[in-house]
Amino acid sequence: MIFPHLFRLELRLLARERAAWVLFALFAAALAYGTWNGARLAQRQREIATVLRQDSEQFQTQLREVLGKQSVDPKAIAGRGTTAVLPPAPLPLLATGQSDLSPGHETVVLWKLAAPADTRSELENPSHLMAGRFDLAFVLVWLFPLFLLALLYDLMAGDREAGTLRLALAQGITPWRWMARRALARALPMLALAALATLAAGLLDGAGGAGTRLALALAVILAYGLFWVALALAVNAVARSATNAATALGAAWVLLVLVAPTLLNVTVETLYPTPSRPELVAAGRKASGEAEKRGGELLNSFYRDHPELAPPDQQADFAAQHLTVQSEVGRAVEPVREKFDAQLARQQTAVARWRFLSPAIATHEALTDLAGTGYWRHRVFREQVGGLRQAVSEFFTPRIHKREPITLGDFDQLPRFEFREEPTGVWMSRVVSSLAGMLVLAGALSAWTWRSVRPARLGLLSA
Amino acid sequence: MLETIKLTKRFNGHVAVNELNLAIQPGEVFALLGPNGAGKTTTINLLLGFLAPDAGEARVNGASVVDDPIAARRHIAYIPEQVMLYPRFTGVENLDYFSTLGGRRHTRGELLGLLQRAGLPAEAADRHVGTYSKGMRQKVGIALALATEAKALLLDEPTSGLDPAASHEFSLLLRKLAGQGVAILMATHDLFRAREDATRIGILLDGKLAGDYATNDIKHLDLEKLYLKHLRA
Repeated sequence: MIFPHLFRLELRLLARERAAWVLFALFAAALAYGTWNGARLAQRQREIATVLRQDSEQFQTQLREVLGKQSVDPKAIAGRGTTAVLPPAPLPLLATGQSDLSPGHETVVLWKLAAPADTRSELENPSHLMAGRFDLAFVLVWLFPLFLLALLYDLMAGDREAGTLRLALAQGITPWRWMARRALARALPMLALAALATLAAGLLDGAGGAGTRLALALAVILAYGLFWVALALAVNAVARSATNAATALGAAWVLLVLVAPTLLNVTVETLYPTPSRPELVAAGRKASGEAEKRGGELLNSFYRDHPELAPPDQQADFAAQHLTVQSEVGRAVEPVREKFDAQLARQQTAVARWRFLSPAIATHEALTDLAGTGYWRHRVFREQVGGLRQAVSEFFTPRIHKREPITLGDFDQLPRFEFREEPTGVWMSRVVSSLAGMLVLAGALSAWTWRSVRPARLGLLSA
Repeated sequence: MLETIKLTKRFNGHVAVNELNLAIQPGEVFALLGPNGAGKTTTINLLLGFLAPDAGEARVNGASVVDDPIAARRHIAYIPEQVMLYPRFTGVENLDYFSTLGGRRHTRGELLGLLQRAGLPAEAADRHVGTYSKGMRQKVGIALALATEAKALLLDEPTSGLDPAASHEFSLLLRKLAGQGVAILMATHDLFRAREDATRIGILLDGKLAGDYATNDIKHLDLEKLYLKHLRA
């Protein structure tokens, strides 16, 4: 019963520090604001998704009714488009991730298959994009370590200066045990607040079946907190004064939380530069201009290759010519688009490989993955939208060339979008490796500290 | 008992403690006199296991401070020149905290009894120690020695800065502890207290024990002359 009693005494000592209460209040306020901010964005995106889904369902109902009475020109249906909606993220309040950058829906229109996706409905405030969103992940990844370090920076150095360290260690407790117990007791309220906020974010707006994600998010947050506790222990084991310890820990925070992610971004952008979006648009326009000039020639060539698609009177209309031109534009733009996507994937793979340079990167990647707002879920969505584009093209193009009307019998074959989530094992392996990496880092730091403060090395205690 | 056998410690080539042999039996109070830099505090640090010796051995109640430092420290109580406590804790909370660190759990009643035995006024036990005088903090240190049931007590300039009454009160407590069979090593500059409280007096010069005398064999004036003679030698 010694350990719980000491733990209570350490907590009592902490509770007598006015500064500690100020820190708890500030951290709690930051967590609450981050959660509220994330909730606003999630709510807006959910409303957009709901409106699009309702609109799509309404169109399907009306179309079935019309088809029940008469057949319909495929151009009319193709012009309406098919909307692909990314379902709300499993834990949207946890992290905004890429959901304010990448659209969560796309309407695939046959006539615009070669054009870049329209994202106007989700235009984000540029200042938010520049500064990043003040969401729960921001508080947990960037601010949480600062609050922890504010409580832990003088863990041993402060007692060494005050003279209580000699008396404490003279009682027959190893320095490691004394430090570790004290660190855990002092970190406990902050860890508890972080865990409570994560839990609240999951319970307030988590999708059904997000229990595993929530449990892993809690584990990631605790492992991240333990890494900073271990770092504070290591610095305290060698720092000569509380001021030195504070300076070293402040520098570590700047390095790991600010510098390392920026350096990694710059490095991957330099190694794998993405073609700019204007370049993609310009390539499309150029290809479009050239293809339109050769419209008739392209169409004749198409019908030579696909005689079965030639219209009954051999007289192609504007729609058939547009589709042929568009197909040519698509072929011309495809290499730029592929390069764009491949470079993005290479960048993200490099980030995933080097994320252990900083636990802040590993934690942020894991949280956005768990929230369902990370790069990988959006990539799966884009790939599936690519499949929908293909399906739309394959369904409508032959019918428009052959001028075959859509009948009620075709209704069930009309292309529709249903998002298939990334297999659990895939995202889980990314998160678990981040978690394991952080635990290994925290363990290595703790082992080093344990060795560094062994009694044989306590020369540092002598006056 | 407290024992050092050819205990040696060097700092950057300078010998701070030089083959020191000491044997302090239960119930003995050994006053270690010596000028600043003679090696008194280094000897205490070596006995506490805070410093690793370069040669020789130190034992507390049979436990080697190098091979089994935790066991050795569990037999020791240590009272530094300034007993530094947590100012936001009360006296009883400080005693609770430090005695629990040593692996002993006491009830509040027991802790209050220990503080009372150490001479701390009852009304002070529940006051924050930020308001305590040096003498009161020394008493918490004595209560801690009582709480840990230490077999050996290490004191580093314990009466420095205490007024005569507090110093006398402290001496009475020391004698009481010695009477209970505790081996006491007191590093001090206070010749008067050394002569009054110690059963043996050692004079440490350049880390070496230059003299070891039974207190009964020397008077106050003789001790001063003896000490100065060693310093001039």
